[in-house]
Amino acid sequence: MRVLDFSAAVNEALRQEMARDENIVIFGEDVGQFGGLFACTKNLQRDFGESRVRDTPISEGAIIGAAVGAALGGLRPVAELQFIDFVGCNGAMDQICNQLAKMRYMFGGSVKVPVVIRAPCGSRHPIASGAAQHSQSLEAWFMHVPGLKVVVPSTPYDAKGLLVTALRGDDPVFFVEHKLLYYAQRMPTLREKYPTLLCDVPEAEYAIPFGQADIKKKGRDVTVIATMMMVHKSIRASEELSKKGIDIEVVDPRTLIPLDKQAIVESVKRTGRAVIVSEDCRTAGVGAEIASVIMEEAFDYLDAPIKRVSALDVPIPYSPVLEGAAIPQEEDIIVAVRGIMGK
Amino acid sequence: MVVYVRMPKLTWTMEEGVVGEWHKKVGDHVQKGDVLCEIETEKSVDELKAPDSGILGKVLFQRGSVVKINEVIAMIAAPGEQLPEEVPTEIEEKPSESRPAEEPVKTAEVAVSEAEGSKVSPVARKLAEEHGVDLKQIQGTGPEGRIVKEDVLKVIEKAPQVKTVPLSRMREVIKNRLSVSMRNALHVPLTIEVDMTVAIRLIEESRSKMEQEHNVHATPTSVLVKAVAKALEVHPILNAKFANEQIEIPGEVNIGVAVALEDGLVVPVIHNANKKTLVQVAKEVLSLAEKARTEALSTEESTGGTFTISNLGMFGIDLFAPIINPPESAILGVGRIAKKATVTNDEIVPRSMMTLTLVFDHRIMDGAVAARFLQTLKENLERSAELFHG
Repeated sequence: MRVLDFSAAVNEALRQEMARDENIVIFGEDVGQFGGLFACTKNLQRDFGESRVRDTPISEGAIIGAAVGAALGGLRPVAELQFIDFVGCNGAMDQICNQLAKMRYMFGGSVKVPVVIRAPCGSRHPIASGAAQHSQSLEAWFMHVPGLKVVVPSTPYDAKGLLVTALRGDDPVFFVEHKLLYYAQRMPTLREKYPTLLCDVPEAEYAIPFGQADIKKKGRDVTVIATMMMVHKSIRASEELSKKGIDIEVVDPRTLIPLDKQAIVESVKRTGRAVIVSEDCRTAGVGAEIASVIMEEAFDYLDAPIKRVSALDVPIPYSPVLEGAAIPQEEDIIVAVRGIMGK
Repeated sequence: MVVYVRMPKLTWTMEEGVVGEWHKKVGDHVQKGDVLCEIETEKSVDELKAPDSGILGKVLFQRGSVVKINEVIAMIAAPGEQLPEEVPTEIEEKPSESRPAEEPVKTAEVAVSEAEGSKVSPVARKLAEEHGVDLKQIQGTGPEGRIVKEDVLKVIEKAPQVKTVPLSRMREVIKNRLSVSMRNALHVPLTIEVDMTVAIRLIEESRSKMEQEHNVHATPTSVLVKAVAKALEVHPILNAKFANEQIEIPGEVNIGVAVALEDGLVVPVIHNANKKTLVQVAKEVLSLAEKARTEALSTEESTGGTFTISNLGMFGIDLFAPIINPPESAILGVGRIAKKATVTNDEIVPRSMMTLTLVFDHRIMDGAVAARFLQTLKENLERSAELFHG
């Protein structure tokens, strides 16, 4: 097994695609000289040059705006936000939501804007604490912007294949990377607790299409739809649940827009029960959208109400203990599943 | 002050309860919250707790008594306090004081949902609808007492499985034709026994020669067809049909031979059976039966019949009266050939006997006519040597 860290897998995708297509460029804070805060762009500036891998000022509006402009000019930029929490800074939201997502439509298809925005999200609990402004999961914001694709890989294998698809496509893509996923290989405690964080990543080129979910664990009793880090927590919870005679199926959508509704509905039709686990906070989150889809398309097959496991509707607390309490843990998944099973 | 312990209202629909076992007796010191007695309702057994501390002074209803809600069932007094002989009337009308604390609230919540109907999961509801299961009869085993898929499945499995079979096209056709026939024709059955000993012997004797020369052998069916065809020549009214309020006597004798299929029946027709030789008839009977079974009959081969023969002898049937195949005027039901004891010259001899039942349409002919036809047919069969020659 050729084991790569999530960040190494992202690095490899960028490297292979940049070698193949000279129009791919990277903008972001600390991406060039430093190689990225989480090592995702390590050595890329050294190998592809300063004009293709650019360190930007601390201005998210400038990063995205420049990427949009460069894309209109024919380049294929990868714009990195150092933390997804910064997406609101300096007019970046306008660049993303009003310009990037809408230009192709508004210009009658006469331009394309092939920008991939990469942004780390999520809490690093229990490895580190990020508190309120460095731990959020905001992918739901971008599900709500027509014109954007939203990708949420959970493993290094998925990350590389999905990033390649994003880079090769002509559509704006918001590529969300859960921070805790970066660390697996470097942190023995983490990888011991969640062995599924590591997987085989082929060196050869491969692409994973969007809108194709992956059943990370087959099961019979409950469909657990989980994203990013929650995939690994769900799999860990499944071991505890199987001791209670409950066999869950873990479905990883891999992309939220487009969403593989068919795979989700098929799974729920078989099990009759659904629990959606996402790290964003509950209200109007990822779970709300997926629950609605299931209700609409699989209502007659439901044997129990749909449950959402998500973070509390609070700013992520400063205290590491409270940060852990605010985000979903295995216990919450177990309680939710047992609740609808009644055992 | 006397504390009146009343029959509690434990559910929304409760009107009376049964006093269960008393845990305290008259004279006992009771603390507030002690269990005084059990209260039995349709749905459960609950504990009635002392609303206050004191001495259980009076117990008005013993175990097994049925008491209306709010009625006083016991009294608690302070030590030394005098208890009234009966419950004063003004107290009767005032409830509220001795409501057992937690239970009603919790059970009321449960009762509300019971009043509204228990929870049912969508898939359970759909299954119940599809199988005509009454949800009110089911106790849900899901969380919060929800009726889930498993609960409905259990009921469905216990219920006798009714299998509905839609009518096939053939069944539909048979149903319609025979209904018309029964509604219009006046069916009268006539039965006659025929001695087939000679016929059978001739069939055996001719077998090897016929096989050699014609690659076919005679069967009782083909002999029957020939015999019937000949008899119809002599009694043409049996070959007639009733159409447009007229009796039409056709110029040909076309014998239909009913063939049983797996889930239906079809009647291939041997046209001009009277003009064909026994060998030809035998061949046609075989090939038509084969085609019938493989659904390969042409339109010509399955229409134009003027008389039908139906044989259930191979199933051991002794005799039966079939339904006339409209618009024909009669049908012949053939039973099995079996060795029977018969009387010849006052002696009992075993002969191979076959019972024929002719069902004729009394609108077109009368019994005597039909009987004469049967006599001719019987003769033809009992002297069947002629059938074998030409």
